[in-house]
Amino acid sequence: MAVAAVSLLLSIPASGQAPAGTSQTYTPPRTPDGQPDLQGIWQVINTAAWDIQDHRARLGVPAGQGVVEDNEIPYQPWALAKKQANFADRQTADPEARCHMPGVPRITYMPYPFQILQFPQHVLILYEYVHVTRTIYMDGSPHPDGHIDFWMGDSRGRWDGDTLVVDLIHFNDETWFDRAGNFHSEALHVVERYTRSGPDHITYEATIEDPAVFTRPWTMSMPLYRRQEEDIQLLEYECYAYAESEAGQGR
Amino acid sequence: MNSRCVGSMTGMVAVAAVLALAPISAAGQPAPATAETWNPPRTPDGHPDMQGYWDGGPVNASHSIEDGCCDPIHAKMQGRGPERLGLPEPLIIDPPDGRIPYQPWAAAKRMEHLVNMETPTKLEHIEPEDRCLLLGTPRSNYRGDLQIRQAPGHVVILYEWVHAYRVIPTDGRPHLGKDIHMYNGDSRGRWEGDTLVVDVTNFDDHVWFDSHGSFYSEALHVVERWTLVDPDTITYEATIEDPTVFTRPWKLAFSITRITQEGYEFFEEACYEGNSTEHRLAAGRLAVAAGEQRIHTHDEPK
Repeated sequence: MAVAAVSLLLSIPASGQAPAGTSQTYTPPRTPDGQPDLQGIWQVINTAAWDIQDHRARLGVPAGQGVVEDNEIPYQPWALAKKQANFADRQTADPEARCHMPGVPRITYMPYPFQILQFPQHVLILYEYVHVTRTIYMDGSPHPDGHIDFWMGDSRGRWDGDTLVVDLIHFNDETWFDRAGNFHSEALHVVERYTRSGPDHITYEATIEDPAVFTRPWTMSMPLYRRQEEDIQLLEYECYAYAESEAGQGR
Repeated sequence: MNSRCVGSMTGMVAVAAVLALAPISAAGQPAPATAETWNPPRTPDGHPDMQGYWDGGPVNASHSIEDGCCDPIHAKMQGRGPERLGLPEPLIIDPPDGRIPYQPWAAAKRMEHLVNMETPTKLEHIEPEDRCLLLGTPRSNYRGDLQIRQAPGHVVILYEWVHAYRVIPTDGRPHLGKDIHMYNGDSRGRWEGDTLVVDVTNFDDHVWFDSHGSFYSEALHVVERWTLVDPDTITYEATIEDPTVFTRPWKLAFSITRITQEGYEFFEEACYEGNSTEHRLAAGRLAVAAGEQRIHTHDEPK
């Protein structure tokens, strides 16, 4: 399985904890107000940014084992055809090429670090990529009335035991799941699950539901790795500013 | 028609500006109690608790920190009467004349910005806010709403405008290496008594202080002082130092007031996603060709 394979490639942390994926055996430390502590700077080590499914190597693209359960995305027939068209046009059609906010869950497995911060009423996730932020409201408040076309959706969270569960709706239909053209509609409903699986790992899971595009809900999962550098901090990746400057002519 | 307050009158940027400025609190706040006479609520680690949503510095400041803004049309868009044109009080408290102490070459460059910004033909002519760039420090603090969150080891400031954020470590770590430059700069905080002092360096020079071409170099060094002076007021002061551009350090100061609206939340401020600099430049070239280039002004067209 992909999760285990990636873990095996990494050195086991000094504390001798089991690798990611053994969430049941790990009891996370708590924040002062008693929440399981997910705080820190995290990043994936996988190839999901290119393609969330199994894929062979191409120039500039490392081969990768997919992060999707059973490697299957249950597209409706019309949607599979559109995904294939997206793939063919991906160099220009991928919203990432326009530096747009990448949506959820894609932002999680972009090759940039992100920082989780916890407060009594909400969890903040700050992403280095185009300074995206997410506020996950933990106060029991419902999603606002909609539909609202948010790029990053509206996040409302709760604790399920030691797992942070985030429910997201209110997406636009302009983001993809990866650089391979996997896509959704604005009916997208995402449920994320963040579970500490060790001192330096979170198991991340996202269930994708979109009755306009898929025949059933499907799930992806991957470990998140704590960045170990003592002086690690988020920097800036101002995608559109750099793209405009390089083009010189605006965009 | 020429758009006059170019800095925030174009397309969706203008709409966003109105939204961001919507919950304006009363301008005439009573003079806050001094920090010495008031013991603020504290976080578990003993520092003043400044957490919550805040209405950033004075309306109009982001348009011009020297003069404010603007014309009646702009004021109407922001739901303000004519009495609220300009700045409620001077933003620059030192030098006493309230003007930015440019070196002569820098004053000339700033004038170039004022000439080119209404009719941009190059990317660098466009006001950075209209490119949806991060607005840096201190400008982000007077451009709409902000949210402060504190945790041991850092203070986090979120801005509604372009969903900017700053993570300010307060653990004593040194600044980044000198070759890393960022739009928002690199912030390091420390507590001096009950004042949060933030030292900001490692800037990128693409950003302006305001929509009037006020600029700086990558040598910019900002020292911010954030002091909670009553439950709903922060006094903010920033010392600006850049020996490449200015003749001396200078200082700006203003009050930041709490947003007390029940259930208030930020909206996603997707600026760039709906923006086009390409079209701005095309329009600028046409205007220049038609002889419409002029120094940016708020005067009514003749």
